[in-house]
Amino acid sequence: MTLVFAVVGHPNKGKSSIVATLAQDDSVAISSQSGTTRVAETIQVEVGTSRFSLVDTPGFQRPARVLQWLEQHADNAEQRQDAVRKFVENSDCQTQFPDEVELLQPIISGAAILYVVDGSRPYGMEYEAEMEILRWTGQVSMALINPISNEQNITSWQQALSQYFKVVKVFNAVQADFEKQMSILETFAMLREDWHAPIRALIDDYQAQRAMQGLQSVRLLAGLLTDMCAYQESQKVLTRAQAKQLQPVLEKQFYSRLGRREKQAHKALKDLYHYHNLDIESVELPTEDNLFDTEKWIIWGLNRRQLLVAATMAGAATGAVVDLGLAGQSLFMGALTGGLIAGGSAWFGADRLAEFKISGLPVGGYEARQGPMKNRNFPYVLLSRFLFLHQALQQRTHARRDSLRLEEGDLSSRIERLTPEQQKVLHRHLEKISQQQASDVLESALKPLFRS
Amino acid sequence: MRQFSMVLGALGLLSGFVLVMSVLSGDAQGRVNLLYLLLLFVFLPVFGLLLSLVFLIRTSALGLAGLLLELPIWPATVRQEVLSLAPGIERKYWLFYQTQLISLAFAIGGLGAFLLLLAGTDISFVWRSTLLQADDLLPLLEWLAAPWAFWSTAQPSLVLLQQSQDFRLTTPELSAVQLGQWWKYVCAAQVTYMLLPRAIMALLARSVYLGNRNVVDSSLGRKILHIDAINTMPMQGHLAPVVHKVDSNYLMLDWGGVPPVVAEKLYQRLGNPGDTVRTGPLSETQRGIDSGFSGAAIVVAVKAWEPPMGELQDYLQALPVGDQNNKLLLPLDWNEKKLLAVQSNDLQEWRRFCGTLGGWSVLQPDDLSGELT
Repeated sequence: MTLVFAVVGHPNKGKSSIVATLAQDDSVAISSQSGTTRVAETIQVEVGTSRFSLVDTPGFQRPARVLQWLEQHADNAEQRQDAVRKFVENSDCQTQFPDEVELLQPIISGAAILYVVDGSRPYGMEYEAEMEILRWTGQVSMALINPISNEQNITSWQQALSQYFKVVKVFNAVQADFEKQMSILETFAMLREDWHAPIRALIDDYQAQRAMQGLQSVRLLAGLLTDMCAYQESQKVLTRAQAKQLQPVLEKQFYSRLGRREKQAHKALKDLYHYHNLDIESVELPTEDNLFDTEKWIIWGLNRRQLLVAATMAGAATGAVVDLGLAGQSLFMGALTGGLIAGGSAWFGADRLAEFKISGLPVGGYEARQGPMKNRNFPYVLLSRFLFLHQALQQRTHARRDSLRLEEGDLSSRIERLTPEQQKVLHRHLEKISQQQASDVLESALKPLFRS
Repeated sequence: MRQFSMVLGALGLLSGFVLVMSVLSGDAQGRVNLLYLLLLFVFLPVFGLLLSLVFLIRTSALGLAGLLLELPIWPATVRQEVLSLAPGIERKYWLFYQTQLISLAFAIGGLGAFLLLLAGTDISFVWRSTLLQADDLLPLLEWLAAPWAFWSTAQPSLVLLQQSQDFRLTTPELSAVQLGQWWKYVCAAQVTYMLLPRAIMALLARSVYLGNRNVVDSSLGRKILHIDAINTMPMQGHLAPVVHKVDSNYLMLDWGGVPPVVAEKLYQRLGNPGDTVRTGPLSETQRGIDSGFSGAAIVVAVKAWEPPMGELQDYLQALPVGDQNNKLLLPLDWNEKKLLAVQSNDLQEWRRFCGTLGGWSVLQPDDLSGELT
């Protein structure tokens, strides 16, 4: 059984926004101009094994005259549904009322009705003709009050709509969270018995997809951190002088490629959550120049004191492994020494960036090398920016068309919400990758951050 | 990563070759202890195989390749490429695959060394034990030889075992030809317990690695959305001009159902109309313009926030007005207490609408907004 929902209403009242939000994809065209949707547009959505269609319809243009026509062709309630069918099939009506024919066609074919109004503007009698027409179709229906700019008129709308629709819900297309979106589907399951099982399966699939998106995000982040921390730019030349001359070139390439890699990960994250057209405004760290400005890192990553604590925890954890190996006979000097060394180097190396090195090659010649990034705060900065974007994408709906501003992160408080053990594991593995060591359990170390 | 695989392969090949060479070189008389060979070619490979399976099951185990990668001997590019593999499953299975490749190369190197020595020198296979006798050893050797039971000349026998038992204090007369007969058994053991399992494991590891890499790639695009991009074209059309004043003695056509308080406020700014007609979607009013209004301005008041609809368009086009009339559309915005300034987005919408009609302008009196008293 195919679930089909026709989203109908006055022109320019947020129908396309509702479609984009329920489809969870920003590829749906949304315009501030009325009448942009000229023909019914079917969007087929596949989530796991479930499938449903949303029909974005043109708005009513001549509802009063259409209702007049229908009234002339139905003497009683029994004939009303048939009159609507005749209207859709009538060639004169198709010429005179193309928008109404287009929007009623999927409903006559069995689509459930999602009637959308703008709850921020007052109710008007002119809406009654179209609501009456929808009632005549006899299909399962629900009214959605979409408060586009405010909620001042919701009550009056609720009173009017409840006379035409069994279910009236307030649904802000640009703010509705995931649970709210699912509740719309759940309501339909209650309205139509034969849709109960497929809608339940669809909701389960949406939830499974949500969980999978979370896991994929962790994977993307782990890949980003590992790549960025290990990345270096190198070139082989014949003489040391030539190698020295390469420094500005390699440095530029190095920082530019790191910047590109981060953007690539952010794009992958956007695609994962089906934001294909979303622009990200990165105010604080947009260019290669200030991405590597260590002062700005504090905004995103950890400050010097927090970094000291993190490095000490990581160093102590590593040293504790030695203590464990010696069955405690080292009197926990391993943990103490590891913590002191790591903490000290974090404190004094807070401003260190990627170094330029020239090394001789065994077969002759020299290798000039820029990187990798040595700063211990670097993975924290990347982590914070990625988490900020991830959270913003999760909280956003696909109806929004404004760009996303990558603002200051709040990494330290997110880390503080983890258990001490989780914090220790996280710091240890970030420390490890900042020293260009592979960490196979990085994903599991990062996972709690996505739950906090 | 190919570079890393090749280095590991060469390392495995070389170590297999050198180890087997040194073990098979034996003592001064070229005698090699058969039991040591069994340890090297049967028990160690089987133990290694079990260890590999443990690594495969345990998430955090690095395997031999992972341990080698930890050594600070690798060029930065190699480490970087390995780190570019997705941490977790993808990297784990790649390292597991590399471990199998090392072991396979080791087995090939060992077999190569064995065959080379067989061809180039005489090897005498003997065995020594303080505790065991030939009778004790035979069942084990027969059990190990079960996989190549079809190769009868490579099977152990009690006579051969007894003949090849060596005691260092006594020097029994051993036949070099007879002692050499063990080579078939040793060769079969090497192929069966060292080479074949590792080849199978390498193939298995490769398919597991490739399979998991595909899972990582494909799982990103789980959801397919079909959209026919038919409504994405922007609406064309020119914008009608905006005027701020209207001549006196104008005719007001109230399409939007303007409340009296709003109308009163409006008329304070525009002046009172010569006549007002309530109209709307279901209104039958399509009356002719009175002669007194011939050539006068026609003002149609609408709700600014509602979009222009087809039925208004039909009404305006059917209005019996001529070119001599000044045709104005007046979008108004209000709430219970206030007459509001029309939002720019709404105003644009009405200008676009009037632009499609021809001859119509949008009327927006200055400073219309204010308290409704």
